[in-house]
Amino acid sequence: MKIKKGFILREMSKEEGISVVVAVGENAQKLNGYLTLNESGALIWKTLSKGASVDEVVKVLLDEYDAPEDLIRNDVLQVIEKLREIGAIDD
Amino acid sequence: MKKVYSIAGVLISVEYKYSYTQKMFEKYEYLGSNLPEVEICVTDKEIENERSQMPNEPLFYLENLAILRKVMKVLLFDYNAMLFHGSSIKVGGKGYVFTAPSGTGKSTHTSILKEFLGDELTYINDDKPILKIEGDSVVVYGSPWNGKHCLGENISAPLDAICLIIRAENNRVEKVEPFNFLKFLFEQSMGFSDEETAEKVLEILSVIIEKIKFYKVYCNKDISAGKCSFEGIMK
Repeated sequence: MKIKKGFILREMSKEEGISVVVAVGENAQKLNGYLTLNESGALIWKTLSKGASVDEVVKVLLDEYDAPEDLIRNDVLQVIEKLREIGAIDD
Repeated sequence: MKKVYSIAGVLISVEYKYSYTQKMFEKYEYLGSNLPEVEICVTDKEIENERSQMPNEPLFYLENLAILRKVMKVLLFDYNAMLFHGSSIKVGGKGYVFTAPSGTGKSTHTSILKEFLGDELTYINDDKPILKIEGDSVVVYGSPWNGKHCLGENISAPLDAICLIIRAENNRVEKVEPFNFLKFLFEQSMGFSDEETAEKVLEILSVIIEKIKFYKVYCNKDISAGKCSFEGIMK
């Protein structure tokens, strides 16, 4: 699983912890070319974009957040599903 | 020909061959004695580049497109200023932008406001104003792209609010959180052609989100819609 080229992450509000992923260039022409992410969502994106597997992403989040592993794994899979919806994932 | 223009408060010298550009920039000519901060001239190659995207357009139009592209690039990267799709007005010294997907009736709504407010309202730009970050505030400027009714001046105002127009039977105004608004801000920003540009546009939008107010304006096409907008947003 890999993040496609032509998508960028940008923090829109530090205070609110909100980031967005937007499609650029050709991808921008397609529908639903953007996604809002919270802080953990942004971390998931950053880790995925380094080529990490789901297990590796879960591990990074476990180090960062004090939450049970199954909850974190659920969160990771949800974000991946949303990224798939905007066409940002290459399987 | 070469002339100096003041666009979004920046003095730009523009070199061109065809009068089309001169006509379009007419209201933006600068006649003072300060030197331009930016020099724009386009090469044959850049004009050809425009032709490859629009093969059937005449040369004067392609030259103009190439010039506009360069002007907006400089404004974006060096002056934190970007084009935004919407009808913008100045009321009580403050700037307001009304935006919506094409065909919803941005211009219709601001024309209703004009009818209601008369001389209290000045058009900044009816189609594509420039939003610029200046120090701690956001300023809306007119731009040479002023829509099919050519409504607009080379003026500016501190931007108070961006308002999304939604057609409805009954008029009402609702203040909204900017994060419910991102989709529209992205759609109306016209700047996700490449990564560098998108990054810069998002940077500017992240400041705008923090500084100004956002409204949803549910409205019909009666004059009462102007009264409702004015009282809910500008009073």
